[in-house]
Amino acid sequence: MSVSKAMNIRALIIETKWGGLSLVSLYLSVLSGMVVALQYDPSTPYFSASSLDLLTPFGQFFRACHFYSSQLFFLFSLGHLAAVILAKAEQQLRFGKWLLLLGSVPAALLLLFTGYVLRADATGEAAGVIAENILLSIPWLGEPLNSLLFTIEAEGMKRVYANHLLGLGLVWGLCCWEHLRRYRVGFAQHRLLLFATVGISLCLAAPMEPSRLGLFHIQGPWFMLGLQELLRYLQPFWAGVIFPLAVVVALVWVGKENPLRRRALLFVASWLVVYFCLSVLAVLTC
Amino acid sequence: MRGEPLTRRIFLAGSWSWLRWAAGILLLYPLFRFLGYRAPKQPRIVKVGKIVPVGGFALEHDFILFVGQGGPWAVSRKCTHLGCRLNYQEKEGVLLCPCHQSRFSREGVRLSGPARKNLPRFQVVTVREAKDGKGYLVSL
Repeated sequence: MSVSKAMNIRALIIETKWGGLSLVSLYLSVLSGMVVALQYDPSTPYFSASSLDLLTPFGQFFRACHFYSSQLFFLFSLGHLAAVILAKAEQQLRFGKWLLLLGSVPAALLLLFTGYVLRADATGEAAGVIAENILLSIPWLGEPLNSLLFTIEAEGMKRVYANHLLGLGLVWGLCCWEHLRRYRVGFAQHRLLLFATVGISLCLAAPMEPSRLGLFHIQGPWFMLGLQELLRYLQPFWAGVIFPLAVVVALVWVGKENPLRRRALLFVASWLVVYFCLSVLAVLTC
Repeated sequence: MRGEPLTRRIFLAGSWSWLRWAAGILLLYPLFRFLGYRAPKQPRIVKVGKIVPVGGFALEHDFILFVGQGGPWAVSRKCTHLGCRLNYQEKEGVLLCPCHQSRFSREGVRLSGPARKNLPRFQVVTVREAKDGKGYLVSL
């Protein structure tokens, strides 16, 4: 790739309004999520989620709208993070504020993840128990963290639902509150995105994989594929805790000045390459 | 503030701040004790309402019941690696984890994959004469 082409891509990433796109997707996700929540029952999660698709009038549309807008929210948030780092905008922030804003990334990831778990199909059920067992592999902190976030084995979807609906959203909001107070984004500024999301939701149902006899391979959510593959080779604590935590810690150090920033960025880039390769391997070996 | 001499007022103000932090952290203890409590569950008995022929099996939500020459036995369907629900590959006679491909024998013995422990086995009682029909009672 020529230098000018690379510069053009860099400029395109920096100039795209990722934050606005992400926020509008979040608005749509929250609105559709509120509608879906009125019919969803965490005591019978799979029955409830599949009833939405099969029985409830427009249930499939609202669930799809919630699913696709949430995916877009997360993807645009990552785009926003990449643009901020490329523009070195994080250098203008106080380190504490950068730390707080970074906290919104795991919160958003967990929001997305708990959404997968709540539908309780084959993927959701497996993702939930895997997450619970990974947390339990953490010495000392595992049990209280699991009590706070999942406890699916003992309590079903109760706590996952409470966190998806309120807890994690609150954490995300606290992390971004100061940042979002400075920016106002309206639906009208992103009509195309809105129409596209609603259009896709009308045409494409959100994924649902019923648990059935003879199901010998479950593929986790797209952002968990690399982790799923790694869990085949490493102990849950190393694959599920230390490996993901490493990239978060590296992102924290991106907020420092060079040479720390440069080293941290190099680590993040290498991590992403490894994770991408693991994800491809997971897809190929299914 | 840096360079400012430590007066009683500054010391008390600092101590008060530390005290508030300590009280906040202490409050987490009852919260986590509360969240961590698990009400003891009654042992669950599940009925498999049919007679399985010798060499056959019955797949239930939490276990799989096999019947051999020596009688019936049931093994958990929860993978000992990370808890995914196992399925039975009849052709090869193994229980396979769909998440990370751990394999177990019909008796619940770990054969390969990232799981390290064997599967738990459950007690099975054969019911030959009962009002609600023949079958097996499995204690989970």
